[in-house]
Order: sequence, then C-alpha cells, then structure tokens
Amino acid sequence: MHIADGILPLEFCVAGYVVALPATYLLGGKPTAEQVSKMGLFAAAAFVASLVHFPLAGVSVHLGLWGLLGVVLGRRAFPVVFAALLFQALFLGHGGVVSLGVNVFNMGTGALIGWGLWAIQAGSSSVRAFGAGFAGALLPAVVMALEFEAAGYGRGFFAVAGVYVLVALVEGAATAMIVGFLLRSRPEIVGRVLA
Amino acid sequence: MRISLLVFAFFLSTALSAHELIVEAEYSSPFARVQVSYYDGAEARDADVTVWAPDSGEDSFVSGRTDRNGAFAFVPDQTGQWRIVADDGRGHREVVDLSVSELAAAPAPANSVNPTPPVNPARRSLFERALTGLSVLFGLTGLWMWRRSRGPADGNASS
Repeated sequence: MHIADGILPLEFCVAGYVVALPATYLLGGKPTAEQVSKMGLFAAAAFVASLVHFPLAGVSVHLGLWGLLGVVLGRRAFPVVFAALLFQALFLGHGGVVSLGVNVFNMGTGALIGWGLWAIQAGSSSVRAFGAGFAGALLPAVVMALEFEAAGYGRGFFAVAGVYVLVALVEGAATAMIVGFLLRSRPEIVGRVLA
Repeated sequence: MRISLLVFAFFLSTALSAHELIVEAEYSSPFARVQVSYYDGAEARDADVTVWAPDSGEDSFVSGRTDRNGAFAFVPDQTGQWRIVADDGRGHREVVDLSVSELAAAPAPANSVNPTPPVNPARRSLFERALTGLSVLFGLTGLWMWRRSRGPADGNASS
C-alpha cells in the first residue's frame, strides 16, 4: 500500500505534504512524557509491522496496524503514522520520501477512522476494535485507489483495493486480539485515550 | 511483563519472516534475469523456477533451478506479462509478474551477457536497517521524553 516515488504526479505529492505536515503538528499537540513513550513504542511496532509478510489470495501482504494506532493513541496516531512511514521509507525502502505526504495522508486517515470507530460507545470492545482495524486497513486502500484514478491510472487499482478487503479482515481480527489482550493486561493503555 | 511479551512477539514474527522468498525479475533485452533470495539477504540456491509466457495457459515456458547465486535467466520470445514462480522446496514460494514491452531486434552477442545477477545490495542489510531504524526511533523517543519531563521543571525554576 506504500506508494513509491515517481508513481504519482509531483503535485499530488506536494498536496500530500500540504495536508500531512499541518495535520501531524496539530494532531500531535503537546504530549506528556508518558504519552511520548507510548507513541514511540507503537511507532516502533508499526515500523516493524511492515516486515511481517504473509501470503493472502495469491499475493504477499503485511499488517499496517493503523487501526490499532487509532484505538491506542487517538488523534496522536496521525503523527505516529508519519514517524513510522518516514522511518520505513528511510530505512526499509517501503514507500518514497517524495510521496511520504500522500502515504501519511492515506494511512493517517485509516488511523483516524479507527479512532473514530473505537470511540463510538456502541457494541462490545471486540466489535469496535475489529471495526477499527478493518476500516483502518481498508480506507487507505480505497483512498489510494481514488488517487490513482485521479492521477490517470484508471480504475484498475480498485481491484487491488478489493484484495485489501481480505487484508482488512485479517487486520481487524489482529486488532481485536491485540486490543483484547491490552484490555486484559494493561487496560490503562487503551482506557486513557478515551478519557 | 505481558507488554514485553507482546513486543517480543512482534520481533519474533519479524524474525520468522526472514526466510520468506524475495523474487526480483528484470528484463534487459534480450534476457530476463531472475534473482531469488531470502529476506535476510541469503541467496536461494537450487530453488525451482517456473516461467509462464503471456496467455500460455497451463503449459509453462521454461523451468529450471537457480544457480549458486540464486540467479536464473531466460529469453522471452514475446511481449506481455510473464509469470515467474520460485519455490525453494521448503515451503517458501513466491510469484512475480514481469512485464516485457519490447523484444530485442536481434540477438545480442554472447559477450554482452551480464553475468552479475540483479542483486539489490540494500536487501542484504534489511535487519541491520530495521534494527537501526528501531534504535533511532527509541532514541528519539527517549530524547523527547527527557525533554518533556524537563520542561515543567525548567519552567518552574525560571518562574
């Protein structure tokens, strides 16, 4: 799902930065030292999550954990997405530096929708966590497909986004498991975001 | 403790992915070169490679094994999307598509063959780079925490 450099037109990349940089600053706010530690821990988790590949529907995919970031970090998931994607681009070659703004926008919106779905006080925590993980994975794929269509690549990328429905199901299940684990072992990690 | 286990599980799953296959294919007229390696950079020697020509149905175009450098090569005879499947026989399998848009006008002389497989040297240090990235991330987090924890104290001291 990481868009490499040279794929999208330069104006798309500039627009991505124009949106992503202010959003990172504004949504990051001024976290406390404890919040910083949590942001750093989950930025590291998201950073290495892209290395965990598994075969699905004939292609190799990996977890993003964007929905999980939204559940645990709330609005501060957006700057954490920025940090994780920046480090993935610099150290792992996943995604480009020029296209970083677009990637942050795509996956940051996934994290924010995950936060929104988690914050809705309806349904069990498992269902909300699954929804957060599912939407957090699927929304970036749909947004990416829209961007490729707008850039003149046609609607073929919607088929790719279709594959991500399966990825999103796995991501939703993984998010529900991790959130359930956190709620049992360290409920304050999740609970303090809601407070 | 449980959090530590969770973090450990992340790293463990990352380590487990180290033996997934990476197949890189590129067409440099008139040859298509295939490089099969593992995530940790090791070459996949003697891996089975099967190639399907565009619209060839179930009949493969060519099959063989990678050499000791994990390299394999073939000469495409038509344009289109070629499918390459690599299997190391130990449960690791990867499929890639290679797009050939233009064929060579004439066979190239034998001495034009580049024996160097298309190894991406950056792949060799994936874990080093991942570890470096994690170290920098945790280091910056520590610096930021230190700065945040000092902030109010400094403010109190100056007021």
